[in-house]
Amino acid sequence: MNNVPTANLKPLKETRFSSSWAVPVVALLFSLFLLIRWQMNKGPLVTIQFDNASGLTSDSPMLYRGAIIGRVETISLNEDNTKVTVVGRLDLTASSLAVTGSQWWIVRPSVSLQAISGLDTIVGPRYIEVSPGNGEPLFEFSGSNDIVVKNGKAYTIISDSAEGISIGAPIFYRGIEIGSITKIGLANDSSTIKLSFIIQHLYTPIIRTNTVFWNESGINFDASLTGFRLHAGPLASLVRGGVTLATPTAVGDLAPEGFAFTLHNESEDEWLEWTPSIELTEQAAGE
Amino acid sequence: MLHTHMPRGIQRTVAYSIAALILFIPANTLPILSITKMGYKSQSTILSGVKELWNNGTPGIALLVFLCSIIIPLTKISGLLLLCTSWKNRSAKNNSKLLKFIDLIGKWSMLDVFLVAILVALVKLGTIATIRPEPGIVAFASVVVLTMIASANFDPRLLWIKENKQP
Repeated sequence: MNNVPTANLKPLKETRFSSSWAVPVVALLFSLFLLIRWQMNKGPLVTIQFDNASGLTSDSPMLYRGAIIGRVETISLNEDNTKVTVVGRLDLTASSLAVTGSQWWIVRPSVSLQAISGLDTIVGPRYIEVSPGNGEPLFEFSGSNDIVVKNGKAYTIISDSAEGISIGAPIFYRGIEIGSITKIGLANDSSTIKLSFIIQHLYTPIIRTNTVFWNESGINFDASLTGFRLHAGPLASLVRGGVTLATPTAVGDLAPEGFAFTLHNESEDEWLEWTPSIELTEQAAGE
Repeated sequence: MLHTHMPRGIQRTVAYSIAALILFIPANTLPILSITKMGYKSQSTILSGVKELWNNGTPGIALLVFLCSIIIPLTKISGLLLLCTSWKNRSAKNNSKLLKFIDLIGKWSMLDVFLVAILVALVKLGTIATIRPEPGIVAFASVVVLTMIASANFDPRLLWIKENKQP
């Protein structure tokens, strides 16, 4: 009876902490990794104010040189309902486009006598196009209403009337189209008309402070005793109106960007004989 | 005398449940898939997808997705945690009912992962439309797998041990 072995009970030895507690730690690290990576791959937000955002929806792409560089996130009215605030998220690789001087506009299909543009937006989505600047980083922009002509210099013409001239009207120099009218509006005091135009970068040296501009729209027809005198501008300007310019043989200083010229109603014979020799810019700057 | 501290099985269940809970955050904040359609690229999280389904006139599917991908995983996780922390306070019958319920609903939460896998495989229309999986779905799949492991680690015998110990 004494030989009966006594059971030796030992409680199961369990470590106080199971190794499975490593799983939540790993999960936490993994979550942080996913969230941080997602945050890092996000580009900056840009806020653009437009007068009109018709055709634009959230998810509309933002393009530069035909490549998608971001997409619209939200579209809303600003506080006093005067503008539409479009918030777009740029791709990380395109964050350098969010700088001072960048101009943003909405591409819509446009068919006019001058040109057909934005055809891709009839079927495809409307998009925001950008013309990059090269200033300091900036995330708040005011959108342009019209297509921004890249690669040119902008000037203005003061005129009495805008008769016969429409937006997009060409600007000729010796019959070559070197620029176009981009905006027509009244001057601030409404006493004159202000025409904005852009000259292609290649031709900007032609524009001097003493350059003269005249309206070449329509046909001039003089009938007198000595005979008929008919003067017509290039055919294109008959249809869409146009402005011709001439620079004196004794060239003046280069006109700075934004320089204001006056528009004459007709040319003087002397202007047509000017033959300045001007070296054109070889390479478009900024390209 | 048997268990002065949390038994290991319970610890494991709690650990996996907490891990699932943590991963539930990126699973819902990150996009689970992105659709590129004629130049539009849109990324959807689970909630934005539910919202879109609801607005597009399919509230039934919206509810199903919401149930399968948000309610069920959360119910499963909280059910497991509840079971692990307070099984002593309930009768064995109620506890096993809860456990059965958790196992039953768990199957349905994998629906999303399969859905994304099928969509990605089916919709390869080149330039017209493409669907790509995004990191959120990885987190979501992890949530589902972790809850499965968590409930598999729960030892139902514990419920009876407690019953026998009752004086």
